Amino acid sequence: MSGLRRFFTPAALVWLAFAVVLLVLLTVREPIHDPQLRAAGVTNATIVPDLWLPVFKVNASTFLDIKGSDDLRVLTFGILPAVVSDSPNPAATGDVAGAPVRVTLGWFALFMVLVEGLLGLRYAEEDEKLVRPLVRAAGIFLVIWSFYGHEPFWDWMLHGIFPTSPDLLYNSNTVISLAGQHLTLVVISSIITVAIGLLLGIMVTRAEFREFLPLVSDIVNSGQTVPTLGIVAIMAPIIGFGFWPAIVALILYGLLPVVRNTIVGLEGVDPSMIDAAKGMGMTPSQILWKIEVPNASRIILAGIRTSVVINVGTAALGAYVGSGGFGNPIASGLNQAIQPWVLLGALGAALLAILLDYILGRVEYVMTPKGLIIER
Amino acid sequence: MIEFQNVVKQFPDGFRAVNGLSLTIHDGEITVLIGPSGCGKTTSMRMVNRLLSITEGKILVEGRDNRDFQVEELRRKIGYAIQQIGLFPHMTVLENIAVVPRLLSWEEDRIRKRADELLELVGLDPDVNRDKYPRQLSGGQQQRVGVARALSADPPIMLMDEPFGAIDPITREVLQDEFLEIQKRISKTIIFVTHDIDEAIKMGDRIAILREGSLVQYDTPDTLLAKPRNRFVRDFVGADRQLKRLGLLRVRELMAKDSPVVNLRHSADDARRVIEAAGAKSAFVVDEDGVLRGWVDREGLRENPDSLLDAMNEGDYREIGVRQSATAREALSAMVARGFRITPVVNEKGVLVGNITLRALQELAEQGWVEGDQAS
Repeated sequence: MSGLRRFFTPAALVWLAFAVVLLVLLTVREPIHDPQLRAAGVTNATIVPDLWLPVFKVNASTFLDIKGSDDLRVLTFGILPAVVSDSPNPAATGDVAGAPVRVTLGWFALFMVLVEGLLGLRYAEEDEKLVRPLVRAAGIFLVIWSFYGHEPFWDWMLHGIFPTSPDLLYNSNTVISLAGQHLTLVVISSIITVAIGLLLGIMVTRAEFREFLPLVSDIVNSGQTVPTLGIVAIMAPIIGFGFWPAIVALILYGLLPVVRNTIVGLEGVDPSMIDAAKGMGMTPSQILWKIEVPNASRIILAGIRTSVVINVGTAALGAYVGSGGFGNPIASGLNQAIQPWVLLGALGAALLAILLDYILGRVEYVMTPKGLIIER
Repeated sequence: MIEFQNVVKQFPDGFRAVNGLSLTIHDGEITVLIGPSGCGKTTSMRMVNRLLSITEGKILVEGRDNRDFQVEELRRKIGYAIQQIGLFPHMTVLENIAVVPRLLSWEEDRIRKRADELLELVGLDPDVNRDKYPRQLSGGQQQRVGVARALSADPPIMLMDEPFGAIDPITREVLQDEFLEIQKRISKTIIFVTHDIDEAIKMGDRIAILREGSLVQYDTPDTLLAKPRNRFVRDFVGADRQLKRLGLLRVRELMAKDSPVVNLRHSADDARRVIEAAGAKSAFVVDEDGVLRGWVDREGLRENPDSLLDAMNEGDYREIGVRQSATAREALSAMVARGFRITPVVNEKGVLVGNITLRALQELAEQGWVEGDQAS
């Protein structure tokens, strides 16, 4: 019981509330009161948190337009009445449904419940006040929601900044689908980077392969000195255009922080600790996984975090080989001198970087052994 | 239980750290390896649990060549405590102690019970300290946990490499005393490496002095101090070796049991008779319970011929006597400080049990105390 209570810290509860609202909405059927719609024979709409945001779904192919005066309807989880506009916005229908991001905001919120809950279990004695985690959770939630899921928000914001510009929103993709493409690039390349980086870092710090340490760090270092655009350009003729050349470039570019931090972390483990472990009869692999890796985890995780955040910025260059992401509006905007597009892409990528940094920061905190963080 | 047979250790660079060492470690004793740095004491110890390989010769553990054991199995049956302690900071005190038992797949219940038992043994409250992390403990407490961890699987043999080296002198004394108390109960076969001759004399049942990888002298502390084999040993044990030897002897074993004694109720005449009969200059005064209350001498009786109470010098037994459990060195120090040539010996309750004279101590130091009971 006390364990459960410790798990549900204020922050975890806030995230849980978001998750419940979003995931339960999946099944909510809303009666339609709008006379126009009723006249058209639509009496019910299902609210679907299809991606990052709930969407009003009338049937398999018809979604309610969320543009216009009824924006608030979405922001308030359908509490305010909805109005169907005459010309359905294609961005709000087709693209939202087909965007490559498969993680809904609800699932993300559930993930954060787990993260915050584990932190609560571990650091129960340092219980936080309610306000800070609430503000933090709400802030992140709103950022994701409004920036990535809420087209009208962008429309309104960009119009405020560029009142005279005829083009505001990027015309070939919604923000959410750009975010989805961008995130896919970053996540897939980061997973591979981390796997390769950890493997390399661990391998060259073992006695058997230590002679390769200078070689590996040279290769990894040079990977970062070659301009990313250069790598992208070299990869395109070899692999072709699209998703994978960008992934290869991102992996090469992101490898350095992971490998370097893994090596530094493992080499930094107090040798007397390893001596003690050996003397107690631990096998080399037990020493690696039970002693070395946990003690180096903080530094290794910091390397991963750096690598991922760098990757967010680098992924924008993927647009030049057609990998999609926030690089697209930037590149097109620069080409066609449409400033709002450039801002949209830059802002979207920057916010994504901040967001990922925050999430990984919390994950890092959860995964670092308590004994290494705690003070006297 | 442990036997070095012509052991040689040559490092890859050609340096011979240990050069034909033959040594028999006796069961249930603390054997101290000591010598100047580079003498091969730590190297010798580390060959026992095969943290270092043996170049030539062999080491028998429990009658078997230690190379016949599977290396982890060998190490798990040998407790290992080092100067740097090497506690694992990411594990709690309990988890640190549980490392070897877990390697040996003990039941969790048994491990927990054993850990509590060991924490009690080393003087730490299990309820307070079990779930603490090493960073939350003081240096002395960490070292206690280090000792508890080395004892965790109840190994018959322990290797201790300057286990109290990194601790302030006061705490070190306390830990040494406590460890000797523990050893009285558990009677492990211990190889104890130090460079501090005072620690060696205090802790060792036997001391092996090493020089440049060879054994110079292997004896009990008192023999070593009384009969250093050569100039090297004499220099190593120090110019004050006679004083150090006094530190090995307990007053209990040296004192004269019959002292001239008068009771408080006796008259001055009685006192005079006792002193004359003993041919002494003074007599001790005790009360009905035999507790030392002071002393009376011929001069005092001459000045106050009628009353013993007026003639005697009153004093608290804590100030004028020495405890029978004190060392001869402490008795000597007390006598020098107080200017006494003879000093009464009392037990814990202050009851007079004997006396010890400056002359007796002097003779002991001059002639050399050859055989006798080892201060146990």
